[in-house]
Amino acid sequence: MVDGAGSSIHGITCPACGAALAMRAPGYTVTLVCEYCGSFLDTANPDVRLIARLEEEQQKLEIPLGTRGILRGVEWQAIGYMRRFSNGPTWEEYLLFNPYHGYRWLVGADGSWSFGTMLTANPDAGGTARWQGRTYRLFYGRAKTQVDYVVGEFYWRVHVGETVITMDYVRPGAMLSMEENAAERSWTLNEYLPPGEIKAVFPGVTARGWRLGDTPAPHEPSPFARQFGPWRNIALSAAAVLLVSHCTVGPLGLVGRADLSVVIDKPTVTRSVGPIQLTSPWQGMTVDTSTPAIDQGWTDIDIAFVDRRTQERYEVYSLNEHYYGYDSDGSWSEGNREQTVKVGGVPAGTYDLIVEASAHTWSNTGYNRSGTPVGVTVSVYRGAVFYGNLMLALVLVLLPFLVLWWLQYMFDKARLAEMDHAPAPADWSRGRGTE
Amino acid sequence: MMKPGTLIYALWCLLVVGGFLTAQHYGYSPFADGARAPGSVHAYGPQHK
Repeated sequence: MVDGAGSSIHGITCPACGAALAMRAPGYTVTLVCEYCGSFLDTANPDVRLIARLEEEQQKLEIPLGTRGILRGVEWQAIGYMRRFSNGPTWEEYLLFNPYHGYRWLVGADGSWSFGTMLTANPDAGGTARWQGRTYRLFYGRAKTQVDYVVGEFYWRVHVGETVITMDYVRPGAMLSMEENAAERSWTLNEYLPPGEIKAVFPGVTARGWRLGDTPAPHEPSPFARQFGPWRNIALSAAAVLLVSHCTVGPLGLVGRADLSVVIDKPTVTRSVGPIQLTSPWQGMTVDTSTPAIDQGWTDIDIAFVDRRTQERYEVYSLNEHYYGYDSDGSWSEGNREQTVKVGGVPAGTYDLIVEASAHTWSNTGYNRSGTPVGVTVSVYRGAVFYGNLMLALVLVLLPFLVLWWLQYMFDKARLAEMDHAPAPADWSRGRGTE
Repeated sequence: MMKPGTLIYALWCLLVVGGFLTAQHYGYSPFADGARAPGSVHAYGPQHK
């Protein structure tokens, strides 16, 4: 059941401009600010008295006074509006009324909206505040807040320039706001309204969620916090599966070996070894090549697995080289006499291993080894470990999670940047979604 | 209730893990040093078995 708001509306006439005004909370309203001329009227007594005469152009409100909307299951009517500021930031507050539920506040700042309920008791407050078992963290310390503009009905004697001291404590989704003047201290619990919820009730308002580069509301829940845990679990599970399955593969055994001797700077030597039986439907192949005697030169080794039935070739190349010398920095050496190369996607079959090798000397050294024989050993193993596959899969799995983590970091960084008491750098991660 | 973004991420991870396992089954890697020679098939010896 929806309550009817403003079921008894009283009409009054503005003594300043003569406009007909609707009083939507008669019996409760103490001050009414004329929507047409801005004059302040005392409505506490049947004979409306002019408190202050103004002739100001009234600003157009996103929620015109008198608008009704169902928020959190209750129909509310906007009866008052005021704009306030504190050390620069400006925000707006709509006073909502329902004759059965009393008053609430609709507070908007930079497109973020909150639904405020006045508390009937004071929370325990200090560096943090506790209310109904939940802890709120101090966000804005004591500051003077002043009314800048006001229109509509209010239950107290409001006026432009009215000043109070405010403090705000936050947790994701809610803000505890304290207001204090010489006479009293009051607390309001402001619950964050997602843009979709406020737009559904009051379509005319400007409401938006956080975007990269924006400053979120102090109590705006991170749009990523709820995904962080599940995404972390998914990422870790997927990474664990990848690592475990990666560890189950590897070279399974020597299936062929070719030894040949090549002479430096002489024609290519070819050696055929076989047959090599590959029984698994598919496999990678690991080939170790070794040329222990190569110095100041290189060995080109072309290796091919040739399927006896189809004559399809699976080829790989190995460059074994070794150089050394001396320069102004001392001695140096580079190159490897031993290499491991891998062939992917070899189907089952009977293969010949064809090895073609030639050796060459590096003539710049003046150390000519032409004509020197060099031994070449080629060892072939069935199976291969492809670290590149693992790295690629891990990157693809972890990258979206890292992007989420970064967005979460940027959100908290932007949110906490507005905090009066800047937190320690580690606080952002500890406070993720649980502040 | 799983959020759509989380479901999509879980499906993405399944796809990646599935691709990894498939590549592992076929002994395939885009990072292999060698693979099936492109182009024509070269005859090397008799095809008699």
